[in-house]
This record gives sequence, structure tokens and C-alpha cells, in this order.
Amino acid sequence: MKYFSRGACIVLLALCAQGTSAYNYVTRTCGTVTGYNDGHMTFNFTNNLTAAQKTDMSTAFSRLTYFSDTSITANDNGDSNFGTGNGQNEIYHDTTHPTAQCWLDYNTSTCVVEEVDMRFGNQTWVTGEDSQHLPYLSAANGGGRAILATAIHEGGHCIGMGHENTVYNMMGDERDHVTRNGTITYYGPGENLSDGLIDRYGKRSATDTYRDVGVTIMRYDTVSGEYSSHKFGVLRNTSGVTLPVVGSYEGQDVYEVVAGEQVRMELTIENNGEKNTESFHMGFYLSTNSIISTGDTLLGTDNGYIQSRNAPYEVNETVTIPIGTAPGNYYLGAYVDHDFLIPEVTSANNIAYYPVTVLPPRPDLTVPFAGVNDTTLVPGQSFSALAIVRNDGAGPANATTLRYYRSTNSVINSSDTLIGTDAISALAAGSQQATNDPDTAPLIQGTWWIGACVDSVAGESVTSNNCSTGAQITVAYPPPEVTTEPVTDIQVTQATLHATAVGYGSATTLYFDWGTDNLFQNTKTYGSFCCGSSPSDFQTVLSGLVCNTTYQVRARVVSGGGADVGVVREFTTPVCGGCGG
Amino acid sequence: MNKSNIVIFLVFGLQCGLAIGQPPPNGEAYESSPEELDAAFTAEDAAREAARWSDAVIVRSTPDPLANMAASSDLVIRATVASQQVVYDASDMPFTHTTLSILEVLQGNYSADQITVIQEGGPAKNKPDNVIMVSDTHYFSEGSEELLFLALEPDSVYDTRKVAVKQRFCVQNGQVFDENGRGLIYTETQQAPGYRLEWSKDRNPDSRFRDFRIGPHLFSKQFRDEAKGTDSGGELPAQARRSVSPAYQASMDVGAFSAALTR
Repeated sequence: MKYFSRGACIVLLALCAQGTSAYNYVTRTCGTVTGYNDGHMTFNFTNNLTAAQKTDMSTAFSRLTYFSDTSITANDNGDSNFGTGNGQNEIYHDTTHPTAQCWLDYNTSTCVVEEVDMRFGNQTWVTGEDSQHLPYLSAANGGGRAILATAIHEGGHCIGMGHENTVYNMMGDERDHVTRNGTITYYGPGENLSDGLIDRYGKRSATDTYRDVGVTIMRYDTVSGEYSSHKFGVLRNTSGVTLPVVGSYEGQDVYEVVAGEQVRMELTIENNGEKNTESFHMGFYLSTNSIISTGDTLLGTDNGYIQSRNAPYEVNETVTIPIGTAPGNYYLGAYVDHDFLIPEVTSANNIAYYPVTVLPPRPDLTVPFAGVNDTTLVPGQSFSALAIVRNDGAGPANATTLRYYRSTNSVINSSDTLIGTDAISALAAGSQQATNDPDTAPLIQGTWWIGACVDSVAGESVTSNNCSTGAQITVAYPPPEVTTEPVTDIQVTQATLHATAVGYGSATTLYFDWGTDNLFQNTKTYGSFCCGSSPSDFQTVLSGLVCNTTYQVRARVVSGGGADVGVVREFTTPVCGGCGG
Repeated sequence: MNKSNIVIFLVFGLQCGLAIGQPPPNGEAYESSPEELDAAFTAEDAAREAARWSDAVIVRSTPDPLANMAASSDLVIRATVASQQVVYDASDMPFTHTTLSILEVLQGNYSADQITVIQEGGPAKNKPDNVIMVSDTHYFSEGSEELLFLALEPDSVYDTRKVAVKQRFCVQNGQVFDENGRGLIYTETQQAPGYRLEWSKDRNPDSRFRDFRIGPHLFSKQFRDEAKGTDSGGELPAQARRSVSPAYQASMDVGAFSAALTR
């Protein structure tokens, strides 16, 4: 049995100071680090273990010690005289204990572990690797605790490692430190435990022969005492919002995705092997079955992975579901080292997948433009509202209806005043339809906005963008117009004034301003007229004039639309006559 | 994995008493590659797989770690370690009885002033230099202040389960740590459950988190802490981009812990 010398311990502690991952172990100052036989241990399989359990444990110990200068050897010698304190290292079922444990008899003077027993307590232990992630459950093995996973964890204890609670790791909750391809689960030491064993006991080879990278959808969750607890990763959209969960597949959430959609996968990547830093590529695949392989549809790659062996690396990866994907159930997979650049000891942990239900690509109707053919209108005037409806989605849109609205502000929605509708044909992705609708301006003056909303269609991805912005219209009467016509029938004390005027729809009042000094201090009100848009002739007799006097006169109109003043006309009354003239 | 190959390998290994944990270099040879597994996928497999899809949505428990810890415990106490006593069973196996004086019951009903936790392990009876260490043991020291989540199973057939430690936190100067000295950092958030718990990136250097005794024998825990930074590839999650890591000095105090537990 070999032990660390004090010098080795100093070296070990120096390595500790560099600090690259998170693990712990127990030491004692008796000249050597706690021995654990330098990480090489031999046990007896006892006769109360089943053959399947021994097979799984052997697999577990093999995986645990793949990469470090450690080994756990198990002799199947039919040991029937087993128990703690008998001087033999044994692995056995022990129903007098409730859980699994590594039991050590440790000599504090020599720092020698004199006996190690690995006890699997009174629980439902299951074997085989055909199971969902968690709980360990399948038609083949029922449900229980995977003895393979627990054997790795307890094996870690037996060669000296403590619990760890800060990263995704096997010395936390071992039940959900797992990945899966098809229905086959894979439990291994993981990066953190491998790193701890390599740092403590050294690498297995001097040539970095034993290499391994892995990926899983599981990741660190939160505080759980001295153990880390782990959880399923999730699928999100590119905004970080979790995609809808529409069902389950063997304990995993099934996410709803849309053909053409970009989705973000949460993944945990591990460098478990001897090589301190691995450079590798990751491929992303869409598969019709749960076994992800290079034979599936390649969605993309990430060739930028450079990973030191320290602690697991939690990342997101964004991929696009192909637009032409037929609707149905699929498996969205990540395949680390999919191009086989690394000679790995196993590829059973190179896959992780999310089950997804792919929906057909969705339409997304928008009204990117709405306007009018005339932005300045008189009350009651006819005009045309114009709009363009476009399908911005990736899928076809059924026929629908466009509704025109008049609003008192620029934001158009269905609570505004409906002024017309148009039929919209079915629109292919990316296509659009222009429409126009004859409308009439309000009968009162004011400012409004004209816009349109298209009715949503089945499967539409976004229904909050179905309305246009408003196009402003101003409804107002135009100012009246007036022309002062020549004065006629000029007499000594009276004359007939003439004007041509138009009110353009608004009630208009006609005035004649007159005087003798160009100050037009006198006004004769003709009265109001209404409401045509063609000029009319008006005349009135102005009396009270003085003979032989020159007068100026001009016509003036005033309406709700404004005012206008005609040209000045000048006339002179005849000279005064004789007596009685 | 090719089951027949691994069985042959294991049987050979078992019969020869070989170290089972010795894969061949580049040991993918004894397992099926994903490509081989995929190629072997049958219509029968497809039908079986299709039957496993369900419209039923799994209800995930609220990610409320304090509530989850409390739900799996019968009693949450703050206590000091009053005494430790080693009791040997008929096989001379040691069991360490740790008696705690209760300072405060944070959750549950318990009227006595003291409670005793029994754990397997301790000084060996007839070999004074030897100790029995069990992997799931919590090491307590007299006088230390603890914050314990306990399961009470007075009728359990296992002495070690009558009062079982489900979660252990250590209290040092009024602040809460794990038993390896990492501070428990509590941060209120806008997302459910309204807070986040995490461990400090460093450890309290107090010796209680590093050293422990089994009988007269002193042991030390050696820690190696993460300093990630050379990994690259993919997109980092938002929380990984935080540049400031909480230090152990920011650990929550007992009052805040109690308030968070009972909120």
C-alpha cells in the first residue's frame, strides 16, 4: 500500500493553490495524507449481490477510475462471511442501514485504511441502464435507485473524495448526474470528480491516452446541504423565454417549437479525461428517434469548444429548426465530438437531447402601411383609405378580413370607429396584398387618424402586431372666396353693389365694406348663404349716398373656413341737381 | 452499448479476478457508437418510443429551495453542540451520539431543550489508534452552533434515523455557512420563488470548517476550489456573466434565514 509522502502532500497543496475546480477530501497530519491505498482498492463481491448488480458495479468502478491512477478491483469470490470489522474489503447489501455508505476503518497513527466496506442499504436498488433520467424508472427495471450511479458515488468516497455542493457533479446528488442517448442512461464520474481524482492521484497514463468529453441537459440547481442538487435544462427562444411545454417524454418536458424557429438549448459540457484541455466540436441534430447520431439532420455546429478539466461548463446553444420540417415529434440533440476528433474511452455520454413537438411554420400578419389618398378633407368629403397587409411569418396565412378604423389618436385598434372592411386573400409567407376602401370624411371639422387592423388567422405566431399606425387626416372647410364686381345703377343717393362669392360648403356671410376715404368704416351686411362650391352672384342696393361723391367699396366674406376680401371698386355719384333736383 | 460485449468482458474480468475498472485504450471498442445504435433502430423501437410520448405535462415543484428543504424535514432548529458520546453496539461498532441544546425552533414542534443525533462511526473500541469513518457522517464539535433540518422517525428500526440530519448549516458569528465554510448568499429576485440561494465563491477561513475530531484524533478537510475561466464555446448563460462573486462575508444572518424560511 502506498501513501503520499509529506512532500507529495506539499505538492498536492501547491496544486490546490492554483484552484481549478471544487472538491474536497479528508487528510490527517500523521506523516501522510489519508491513504485509501493510493486510490487502488480491492474488494470482495459478497454473495448477497445479484449478478446484474455486480455487473453494474463493475461498470461503475471502471468508469470511476478510467482517467486517474486509481483502480477498484472486485473479486467475485462468493464471500459469505461479510460485515464491518472483519478485516476484509467488501461490497454488500446491508439492510440494517438505510442508505448507501462507504465505511472506513482508519488507523490514525499509520494513516492506513485497514478496511473499507461499501454498503448498499435498505433501498430499492435497480440495475440496467434502460431508464429515464430521473427517477430511475423504466418498463424493464421498474423504479428505484440506480446501483450503477450510487456505486460511482460511493466508490468516490472509498477512494477519498467528499461531497461537493457548488457545481454539477457526481459527489453531489448522483441520481441526476446523468445523460442519455435513446433510452440508455449514462452515469460517469463527470468532470469535477475526475479532476479531483487526477489531481489527487495523478493521471492514469503519461500520454493522455484516456480521454473523454460529455454533454448532458442536466445542470446545477441550487443549495441542498452538502450535496449539489441538479435539474433539467430547458429550451428557450432567443429572447430567453422558456418555450411552451406541451407534454412529457419519459420524465422530460416536451417543448413546442415551430419550424423555422430559433431555439436555445441549455447544455452542460464536461471534460472528464486525462487531457488537461480538450478542443472539440459540437454538432446539433434533429432526429426522428431518441438515438442521436450523425445520421440525423445536422442543424449546425459549434467548433469553438476549448475546455479545461476543472468544473463542468454550462452553456447555451442556439439552433434553428429547419423551415421545411414536417410537423410531428422529434428529438433535438447535441452531440459532443460528433466529428470524432478525440479518441475517447466512451461515446455513451456524448449525447443529450430535448424532445420537441414541431409545429408547422406560423403566419404573422401585419399592416406595415396604412394611408389615405388625401390628407386634407372637407367635412363629408369622399376619400380612399389605403393599406398593405403582409405575411411576415414563415407559414401561410388563411384568408381574412382587414378592418379600417378612424381614431382620435395615432394608435389604431379595434376599439376605434370602424369605417370599412376589405377581404384579404390567403397569403403565402412573405407575400402581401394592397387594398383600398372608399370612405367619407366626418361632417365636422377636426383631426383624425385612419388605420387598419387585419383579423388574426389560425396559428398566427404574433397577434399583437396586426394593426397599422394611423395616418393623420385634417377635416376642415376651405376659406370662402369673394370678388367685388363693378357697381351698377349708380344714382345720386344709391347704387347697386355686386359680388361673386363661394362658401365651399360652409355657411358664409357676405359683407360690403364701403366709405369715401379708403378706410371702409361702413359695412352693409348682405347676409348668409350656403353652401355650394360654385360661385354665386349677389347684389344689394346701397342707399344713403351723397351726390357727387366718390366711394370705395369691397366685398368681404366670412365663414367657419376663414375669410376673404374682394378688390376695391370705386364709384362716384352724379353731381347734385338744381332745386328740387 | 453493446451488452453482449460488456458482459463477456466483465465475466472474463470477474473470473480472472482482474481489476474490472481497466478499459482498453480508446475503449469505445466495447460499446456501440451512436451511429450503430441509430442504424439498429427498428420499427418496433419506433412504435415503443411513440407510445412513451404523453400530453400530460409534468408539474415541476416550485424551485423554492428553503421550502423544499423544510417540506422534507420535521424540525428545523438552531442549536449548540452540548456533548458527544460514543456508544458501542454488540458488535463493538461505534455510534456517536451528539446532543444539542436547542436555542430556537425555527419550524416544527419540539418541547424538549435538547435533542440527540445518532450517527454511525467514531473511535474504534479496541484499537485506540483507529477510527471508523462513514461517508454520510456529519462531524460536529462541542460548542459549535448549528442550524439543522431534522427528520424525526422515533419508530425507525435504524437508530441513525430516529433523528436524522436532512440538511446541516453552520452558524458562525450569527451568519449561516455550509459545513465546509461557504457562505449562504440570499438574494431577493423578481422571479419565482422571489429569492435565490447560492454559495459564496470562497470559504470562511475559520478552523471549524476545516478541522474536526473523531475522539482524540484531529482531521482536516482539504478543499480545492474552482477558478473557471479557460472554458469557451457556446453562449454563456446570463448568470455566468456576473463579474462579482459574493464573498463569504456576505452570508445571510440567522434572522434573515429564519424570516426567509417562514415567509
